[in-house]
Amino acid sequence: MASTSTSTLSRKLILKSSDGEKFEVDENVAMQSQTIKHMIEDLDDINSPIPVSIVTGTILSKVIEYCKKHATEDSDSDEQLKQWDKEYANNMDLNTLYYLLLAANYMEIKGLLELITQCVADMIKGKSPEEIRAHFNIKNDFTPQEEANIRNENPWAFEN
Amino acid sequence: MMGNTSENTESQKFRLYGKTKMPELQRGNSVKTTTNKKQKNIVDNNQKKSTHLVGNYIRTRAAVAREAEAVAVVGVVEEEREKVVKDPPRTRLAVKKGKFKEQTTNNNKRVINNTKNNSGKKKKVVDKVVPVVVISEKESELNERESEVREEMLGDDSGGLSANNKGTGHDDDGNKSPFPERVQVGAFPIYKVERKKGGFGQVFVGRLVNGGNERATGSGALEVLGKYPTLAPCSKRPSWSWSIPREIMFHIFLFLRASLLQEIVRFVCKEWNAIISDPLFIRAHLLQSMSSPATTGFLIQDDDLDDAKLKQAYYVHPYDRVVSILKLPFEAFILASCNGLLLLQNAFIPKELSVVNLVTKANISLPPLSLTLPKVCIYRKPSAVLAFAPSSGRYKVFCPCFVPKYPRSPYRQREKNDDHLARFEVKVMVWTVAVDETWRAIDIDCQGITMSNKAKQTLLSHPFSIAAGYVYWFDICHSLGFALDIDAETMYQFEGPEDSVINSKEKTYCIPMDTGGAGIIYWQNPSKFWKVWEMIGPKTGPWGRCMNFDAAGMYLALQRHFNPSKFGVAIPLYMSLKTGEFWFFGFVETKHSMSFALVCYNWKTGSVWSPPPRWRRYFDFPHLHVNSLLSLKNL
Repeated sequence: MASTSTSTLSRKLILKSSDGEKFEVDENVAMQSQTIKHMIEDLDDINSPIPVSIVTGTILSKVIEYCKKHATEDSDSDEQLKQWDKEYANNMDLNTLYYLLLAANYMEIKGLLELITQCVADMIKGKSPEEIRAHFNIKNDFTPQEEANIRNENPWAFEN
Repeated sequence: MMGNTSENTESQKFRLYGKTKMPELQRGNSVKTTTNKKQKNIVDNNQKKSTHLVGNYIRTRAAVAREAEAVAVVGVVEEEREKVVKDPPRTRLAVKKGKFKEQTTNNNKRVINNTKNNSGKKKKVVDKVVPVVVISEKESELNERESEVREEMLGDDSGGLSANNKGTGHDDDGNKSPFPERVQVGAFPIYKVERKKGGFGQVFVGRLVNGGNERATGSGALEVLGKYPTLAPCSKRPSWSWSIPREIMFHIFLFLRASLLQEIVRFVCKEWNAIISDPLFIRAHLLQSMSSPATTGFLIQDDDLDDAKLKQAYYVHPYDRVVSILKLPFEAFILASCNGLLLLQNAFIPKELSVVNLVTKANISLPPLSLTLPKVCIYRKPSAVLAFAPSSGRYKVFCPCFVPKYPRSPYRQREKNDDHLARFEVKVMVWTVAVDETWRAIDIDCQGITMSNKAKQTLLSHPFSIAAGYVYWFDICHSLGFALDIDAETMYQFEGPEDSVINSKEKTYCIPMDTGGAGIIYWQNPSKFWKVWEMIGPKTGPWGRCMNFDAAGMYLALQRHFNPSKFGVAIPLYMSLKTGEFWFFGFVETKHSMSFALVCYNWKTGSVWSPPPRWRRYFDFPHLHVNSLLSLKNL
């Protein structure tokens, strides 16, 4: 990034969502996405909109909200930032989280991906398999036999 | 003490994983390698750009395609609906086709009307204008004058799909051509369903049946796009499903504890089970568990020969601050712990050793080994150890064995310790888990090590640390230590720290450390400071920097913490130079009793933690331990 970072401190970039919505953001905000970072490197004309192919406008606006908060590091202490992250994640419904997860993965925003994976991991904790299936609407594709096979994979050989 | 066994080397081993877990990142890196734009070939440049974009796109599409078709449709539509509700001017449809109007009808169905005036923009983009049609029986709810084409949003609260499917009569499976040949919406002309237009199998092109003019839009449009809901009957299925690409679930599962994954999460569905059973995941999870403080802990057995207590161990999570009981498969002494695997010795049949994983319940019995111990041995247990060999990825069990060379002299009434030890020959035996059929002896004589009585005594003591590919033994009395290279199976001899004033056995301790792997602590004066030496490398002169540790502050904090009980004499167990956590045992004395407590003091924050009083008791020596999903099959 050495070639671009010096001359482009406060450049604006235009991100275009999958549904054509355009967002103007500061470069340092957008650069938190590794995907976009790599795209810009290869772009000659940075004024043209950068397509974020699979992310819709609604989700992209949330992603940008996160990136903006994390781009201005000095204004908040770590603790405040963590608190903000927590609230940010808690305000999402599962549906939004789902698409945010896909977006963070696609855009390679490490912090956001970690935040949401942690959030989903917390949802899994303390639930039975049935409750997890209900929560995430996952179909149980195990037959009782298959389930028993997994359970008996490693019985104690020592048990009398 | 070996939970952090060879963390450094293993992290190197797993660095590869760090790339693979986010393939697009890896790809991104390769794209990024040349940064100087001027040197770039333009063609090359373009290729790079395109591969990057396409690569990501394909991956994600493929991931999405893995979902059940129908389910995906609902997901997409849901998303659209949400956008309409929260953010009307910026929906995908809005941008594509211009302005939309949202109408919420009485029965909570939302209808979006596409107004005429924006079709012009779309013409430029697509060769033929293809407004989206949604079939609905609720014609009366639509504003027909304003819209020639309507879209009904799916997946509303009442399961809005059902209405659409009544007339069309298609079933769940889109491949069975469940779509009607002709479709009429309200007062519109009849359209013939012609060909699939992509989407998730539910978007079709419809052609006007009765000729019609060549108008591209409006109620007489020649061709329209029809969107079919493919889920039916909807009421039986929720409107949304979790279907996340495998590599993301991989990430999520890394945050969960081994026992939770083993007992709960893998039973959710086959896909999840497959991820959790993947050897790559198991290793990544282990690495995650070891690198974060969240799951590394201590495994402790009661110092008690009571049979019932030999079947269990306590697991203390330093970070979660929880004590849990782990069941052992039989009455056993825990000799060592490494990456979630335990080396157990049968409490009743000493020559029986086994390696088990308490989480997966994987277990394997070792070939019998004679484990007679000389009487000078102050530990009941053999100084056997289970260790991870970083370069081969194997697990090895090392055990110094003491074989009497000749019987005791009948002429002497009492045998001195030195004479007693001299009668024994020491062999360091090794057994590689899942590879060796029998024990092999390491030829230590060839490696220039003379087995003096001092050396024998050193090897009788419990190995105090296993880290960075080495197993360490150290005898404080003789200031003599051995480092055993786990991979090469070679031994090195070393001495204690040079400037050591180590002369008091009670005041010097060898402990595992997170950075150098091993360290020695010497109390100068408990109330003032401790000296800490850190192991750098067994070959290059082992002892590194010396640090003075302020013990006065620690004792003050401890007295406050245990008040009104008294805290005395700390026996160091583990020190993390990174986090500042210092673990030790200490006596806690109340008016009526005295017991052992496991304590964590953080010298960086000054905080003290100790498990609740009911966990205070006489403990055996604790092992650093981390739970893992390792099975013994794939070792």
